[in-house]
Amino acid sequence: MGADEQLLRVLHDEHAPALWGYAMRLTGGDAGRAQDAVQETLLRAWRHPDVLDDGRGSPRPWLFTTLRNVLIDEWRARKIRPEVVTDELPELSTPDHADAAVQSWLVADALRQLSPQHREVLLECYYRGCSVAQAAQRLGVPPGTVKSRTYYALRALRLALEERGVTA
Amino acid sequence: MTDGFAHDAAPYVLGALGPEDRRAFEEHLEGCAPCQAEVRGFAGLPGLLSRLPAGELPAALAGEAEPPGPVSVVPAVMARIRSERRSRTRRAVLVAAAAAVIAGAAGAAATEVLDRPAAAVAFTPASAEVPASAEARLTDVPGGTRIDMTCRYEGELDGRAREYVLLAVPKGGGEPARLGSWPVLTAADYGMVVVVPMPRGQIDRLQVTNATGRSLLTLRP
Repeated sequence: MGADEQLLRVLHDEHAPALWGYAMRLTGGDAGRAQDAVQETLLRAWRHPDVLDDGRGSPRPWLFTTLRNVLIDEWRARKIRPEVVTDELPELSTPDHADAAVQSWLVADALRQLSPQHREVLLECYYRGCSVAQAAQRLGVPPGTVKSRTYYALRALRLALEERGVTA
Repeated sequence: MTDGFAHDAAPYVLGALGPEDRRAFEEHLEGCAPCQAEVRGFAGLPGLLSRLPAGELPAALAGEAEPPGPVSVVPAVMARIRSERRSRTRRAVLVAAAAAVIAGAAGAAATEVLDRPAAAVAFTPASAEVPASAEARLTDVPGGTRIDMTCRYEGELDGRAREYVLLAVPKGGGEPARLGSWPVLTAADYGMVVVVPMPRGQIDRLQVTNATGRSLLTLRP
């Protein structure tokens, strides 16, 4: 196996599932287009080996941004032809907010990496707006446990976000 | 971080402490530098959590593993890399120091191609262990020979600094001309265009050596 293929395989194993998930989301579940976009993104990464330099941190933000740009370009090209105007991607209609869109996806990507207990406690205490006491009741654990889980969940989240180059 | 407040900073920034807990923690916070630091460290997270696209919440929070792609795209990407290689390589245009004198004398005409360029010829590796391959095309130009060389490193990229050197050895055992050197950092092709002040017929061979001078690849035009 040549060095290129090795590099590509490492890249693929580490990032293709996340890229695939994002591509499926952005294409509204079109597997063919998602696969083409992932392919194009990995090819572009191969052309820019500096992106994969360990000293630069996770290439995830670059990969997500590139994937998104690939799909935006493709979407624009298709949009010219009237017969495919219907498969508009609402989220892609504001390219000026590319960074924000990619960032929000990176947040989702980071959340997926947390343990089930950590995600659960963030769902209760943040997204559902429960108090510690309410969350304790819903989850069937003591309030002290809710507090400590929340604490370690935020620490894990902060780390996962930092790894992805997302800072508050 | 003491007196039972060890973990309160987290539910506090998320707004999940009940009124009594919150009041007690805020009183404690005034005199506790470590807890203040924790609050500062967590302060940006609620804002980031709020950016999660609404539609993503269930999937992300369920920790749903991303469904695997139907097939690996590695073979497809490799095929595209190979075809891209054939049609286009990245080139760094270098004029070797040795050629500079000639180029100066001949001016802009130095790189004007006189003949149709010959086909690229592959270098012969010194042994089967050489982790690189190269090819070059030699073209007659006023005052010498233009060499378009592409070298590809195929060994492992283990982070060690490597440098390769391209030499032109004249016939009759004269001093080899050093045409250029490049760091081997990535698996990408390295391309070089140089004008060597020797007619094509006087070049005995081109050599790619490593930094210690060991010959890795040889091309006899």
